[in-house]
Amino acid sequence: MTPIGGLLTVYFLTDYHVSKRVDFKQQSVAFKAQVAGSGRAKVTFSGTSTGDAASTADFSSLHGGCYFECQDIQFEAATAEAGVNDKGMFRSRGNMTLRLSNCQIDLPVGSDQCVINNDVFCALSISNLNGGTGSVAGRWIQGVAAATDPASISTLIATNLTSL
Amino acid sequence: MIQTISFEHNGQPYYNWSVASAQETGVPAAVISAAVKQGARSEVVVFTNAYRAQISSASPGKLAEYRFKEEIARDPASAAPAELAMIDREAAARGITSEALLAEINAKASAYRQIALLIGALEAETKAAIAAITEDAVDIEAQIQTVLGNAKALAETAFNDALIQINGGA
Repeated sequence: MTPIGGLLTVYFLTDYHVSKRVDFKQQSVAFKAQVAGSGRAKVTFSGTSTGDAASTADFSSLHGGCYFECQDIQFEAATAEAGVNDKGMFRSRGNMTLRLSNCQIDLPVGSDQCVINNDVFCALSISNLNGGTGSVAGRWIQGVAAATDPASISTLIATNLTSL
Repeated sequence: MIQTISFEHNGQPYYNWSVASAQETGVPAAVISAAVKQGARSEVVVFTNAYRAQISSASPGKLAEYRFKEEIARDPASAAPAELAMIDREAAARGITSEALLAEINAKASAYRQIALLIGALEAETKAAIAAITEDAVDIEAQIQTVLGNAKALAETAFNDALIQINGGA
């Protein structure tokens, strides 16, 4: 178990498929790519989480205030299946800080998959990020429309994005 | 603070990229330059609006009151007697003469007008200076930061001077 104040680092040595919710008990988790010969590792998420038909597969923290840091990863979501309500790739049971650096977000065109689930108080830091399948506007946080002023979202603690 | 830029290139959106990273990945200089300038223009709007917010009351009713008072103080001889009577009551409540209150209103109105107009001028001048920077300037980030820094320094000095006047002198 990672001690309080410690950082669990998960290295993706190859592409990885997330088929169900992955609950982290640690407070701070870093996801990094270490793929031979290329920069980014590809992490794909299922449209329905095994064992939880109301949710897509996601990375989740059981910790009250968690920190997820992601570097050099291409996150790809699948279209949620019928009846799925929770459509974010990241979530937490409490406050969450999500930092995406040198990452790519691929969200199915025409779907309403999102980066962050709508039940999370979060801080969101973005740097050097690409939208692989198009704009991520309106899909950073589930239920928050494109071009929304971040300051108007009460569940968003802070972000360096000027528009959602 | 490192400025980040957001832009679209080859049909793909880029969010919060550093200029250096964008250059390293082969994004054309014209695309980077346009994004840097757009970010700077947005920053100008943010900081000028922040000053405007500081000199504006949050209450539309209070702003209307300021306008009425300025109108009365500018030409008390033409003011309606009933309105002048209200000025007399406020002056009495504050323990000063009506003439002193009218003089105070005029001084504050003058300071408000001066700073409001100056912010508008600074906003236009800063945007023009940003537009004048050549697209292929290798030091475009530095030039933009100089322009923004100068504008912010001028605005802060003028704002603080106006605030002293608005608050009744030094």
